[in-house]
Amino acid sequence: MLHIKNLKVMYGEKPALRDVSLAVAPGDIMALIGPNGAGKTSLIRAVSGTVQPASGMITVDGQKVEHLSPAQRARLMAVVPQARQLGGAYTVRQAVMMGRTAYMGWLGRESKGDEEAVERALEHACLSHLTQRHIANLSGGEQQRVLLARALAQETKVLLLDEPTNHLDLRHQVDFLKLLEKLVRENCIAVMMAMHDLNLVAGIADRVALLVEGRIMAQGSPEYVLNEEILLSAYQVEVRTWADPESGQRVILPRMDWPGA
Amino acid sequence: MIRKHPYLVMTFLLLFAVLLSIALGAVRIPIGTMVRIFSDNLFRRTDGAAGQDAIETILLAVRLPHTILVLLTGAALASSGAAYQGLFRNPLSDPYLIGVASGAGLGAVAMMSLQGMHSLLGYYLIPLGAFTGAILTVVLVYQLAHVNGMVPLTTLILAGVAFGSFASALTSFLMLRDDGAVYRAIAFLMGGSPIAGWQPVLAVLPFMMFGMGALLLSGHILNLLQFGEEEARQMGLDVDRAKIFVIVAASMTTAVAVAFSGVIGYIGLIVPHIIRLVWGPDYKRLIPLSILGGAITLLLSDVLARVLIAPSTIPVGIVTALAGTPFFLYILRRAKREVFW
Amino acid sequence: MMNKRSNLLLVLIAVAIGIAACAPAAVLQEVQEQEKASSAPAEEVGGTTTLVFTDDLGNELQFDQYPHAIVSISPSMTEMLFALGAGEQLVGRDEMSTYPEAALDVPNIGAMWGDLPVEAILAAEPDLVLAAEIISPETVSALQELGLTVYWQANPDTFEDLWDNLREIAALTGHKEEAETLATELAARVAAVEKAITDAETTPVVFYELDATDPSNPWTTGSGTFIDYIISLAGGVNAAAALEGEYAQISAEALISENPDVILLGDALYGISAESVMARAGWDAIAAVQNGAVYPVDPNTLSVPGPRLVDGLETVAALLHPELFD
Repeated sequence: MLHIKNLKVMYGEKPALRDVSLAVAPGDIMALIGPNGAGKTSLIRAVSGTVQPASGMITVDGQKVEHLSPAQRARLMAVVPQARQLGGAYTVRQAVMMGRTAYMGWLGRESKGDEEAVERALEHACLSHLTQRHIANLSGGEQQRVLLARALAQETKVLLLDEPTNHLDLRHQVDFLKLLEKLVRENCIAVMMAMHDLNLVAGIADRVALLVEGRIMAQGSPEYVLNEEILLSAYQVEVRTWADPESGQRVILPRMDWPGA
Repeated sequence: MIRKHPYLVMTFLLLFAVLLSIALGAVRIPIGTMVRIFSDNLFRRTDGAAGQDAIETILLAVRLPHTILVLLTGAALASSGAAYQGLFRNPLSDPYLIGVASGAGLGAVAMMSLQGMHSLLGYYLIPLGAFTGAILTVVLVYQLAHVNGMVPLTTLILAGVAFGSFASALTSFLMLRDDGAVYRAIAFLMGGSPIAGWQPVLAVLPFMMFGMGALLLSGHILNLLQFGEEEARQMGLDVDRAKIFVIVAASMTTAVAVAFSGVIGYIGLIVPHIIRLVWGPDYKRLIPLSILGGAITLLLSDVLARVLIAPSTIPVGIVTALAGTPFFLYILRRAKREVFW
Repeated sequence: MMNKRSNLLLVLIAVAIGIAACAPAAVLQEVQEQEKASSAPAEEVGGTTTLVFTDDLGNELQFDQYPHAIVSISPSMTEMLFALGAGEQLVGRDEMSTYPEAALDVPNIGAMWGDLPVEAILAAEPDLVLAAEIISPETVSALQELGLTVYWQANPDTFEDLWDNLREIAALTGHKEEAETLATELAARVAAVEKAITDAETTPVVFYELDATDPSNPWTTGSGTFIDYIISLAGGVNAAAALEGEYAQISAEALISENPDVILLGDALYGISAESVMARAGWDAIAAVQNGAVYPVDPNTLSVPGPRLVDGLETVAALLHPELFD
């Protein structure tokens, strides 16, 4: 259970997040949406400990995270970053093993437990057949799965993802999200994920939080947040939304012929 | 086959290089004589008063300690070079990146000017000066660069370069002011020291063990840092402490190497790359293999330096530069075609 | 807080560097005083014929007989040994010891700059290593650590010092008589020059060029050096008298305003000719250039602290006052 209360983050003089409060239940996927610069990445960085909040509280299962050491924090939450060109000629297995740092200590001594966790993570991410490949030689989709496996190896209750599907093709986007959903349900992980693609959000998220200029403009079910007035006000773009007759999934269509566009 | 047994191959090469270093020099020592002298000294307490003959003195009092010193220096430079390359994620990093060499040079030359002609305090002042200069430089550069306990790496490099230039300028100035120092300073800066014997080895050993030991433990840290500081922290690494740890270990190792052996280039830059080419970038392996590789490379360069114009010695820094440049170009060509760092 | 500490650190370093820059002069003076006192001749101790010597670093050396396996690691030592008839006692010499020709037959043990060729020195199994001031005290200690007996001699400041140096080496090697003969002969030649100079009507300003790779800032010798001393004895005055030390840099402008009457090229062995000097921009304002008084000299007769310094004196005197010498 991830709780964020009255979080305020400043970058120097500029406020990046003002008074943000959220909660994510285990097994739930919360999508963070909003225009660029709205604070999605700042929120993820504040929760993961990369930036120090100016005020506010973050708890995981009731435990405050502000003063935890990086290793302690890493046992509670893991981050799946975007798979930009992965450097280093490490193998998939080596890369995933690095996710066990919080348990291995800074010497990096691998125990049986670590090996098993890595095997599990590789299996969950469908990478068992690729363990000896170099990560630089993988496709974009495969690289993103490696980062997911690495985060899974951390065996945390909370998973944070920062726009994981941006650069993937349609097939890989869908594959990744379905995989994520399955893992999250099976393991009761609380997921907070920053996303751009509103249709994908509609298909995958249990809850949505819309951030605009550092504040939460709307929070709730996808149907509630992904509505025309709210989206127009947030993105300054006119959209049409409706429920797909067959699946019931919300569809968002930006109006390209809109005079204000 | 080579790929599968890195430690075996490197240890074998090291033994070969050590043997070569002990056997060759201004005076040829045949293997038979070598074996006899070693067994005499190891298995029997020889009475020192009965005068060792010249060959024995050369072997035990000059060549053996020299070989060990060169071995340690090469290992120190290559391992700290590898550590810096991992820390700064820059393949062009070498152990002198944050000004250690310039600081050591300044310290050494300052001592040379201070001593004047009558240095009864012995030759330790110069290495001490070099070591102090190197450490002070790192401390100063760190102070200049750090913000709230965090050390932005780019600032560190810039501060190091700036201070390095400053130190070099001061060194040149000191050299001008005192002509006695010029000869010795130049010899030092080209890589080489006039001190032979066991004392330098004993003085250097604890620092080397400590420094390289710490570097050996830094493999995992460096692996994590390859993914960027943010991700490393998210995976659970206390990045700020880890960076300081690596910087201190690498700087101390380099400082003591430079103090006794002068400024020798290319070992710290090239050897880690060669190891990477053959055995990959995993720092848990790269550091120990660089230790072996650096020792081998410097030993071989040193043999060349001692043998080519015997009985004189070419400053070993010149040999490493001459041999290192074509190697470096070769690596650059390979790098363009593959991603391996 | 951090800033204050780094500031203090910087100040301490600046102070340390400041001391380092000023110290040599102080130490040097003190050392020179000590040296005058300690250059002791040989003594014969007790009933045994043990030879005891004390060198200019204060080291005491003892021998049962005169050393006969000498390694010389300075060219001046080599020259003196041969001049005293002790050349046969040499078993090794450094790379730069190339005078006299007979020295070339003595095994070369290597160059003394950079890494010491200790192995070659040890292999020669010397009973004595001779070193001049150009060898640093660290090097002497390093050699002593290896069990070698080293005799270190300070450079002479005057010709009288040179005779004493010769006598020291002679005593060390058992050639006292040759030393006296040589000293007398050399002293006579010096006296002859001094006598001739008393008739000199001019005191030309002399510029001794060590290196002019950068012609706008050539290197020369300042006051307090033997070359400066020779120039004075030869009836001239050093253009760089305001500077001090063996290697002093003078700006071309300062040189032109000193306007030397004679230029001596100590770098003639490195390809500098009178023509090239006279072609330098701005140097045609100098009297020496206008009068063609630019002469190459052999620097080995002016900077190697051995008997050839007398040759150097004679050469320079003849160049400065050709009318007094044939």
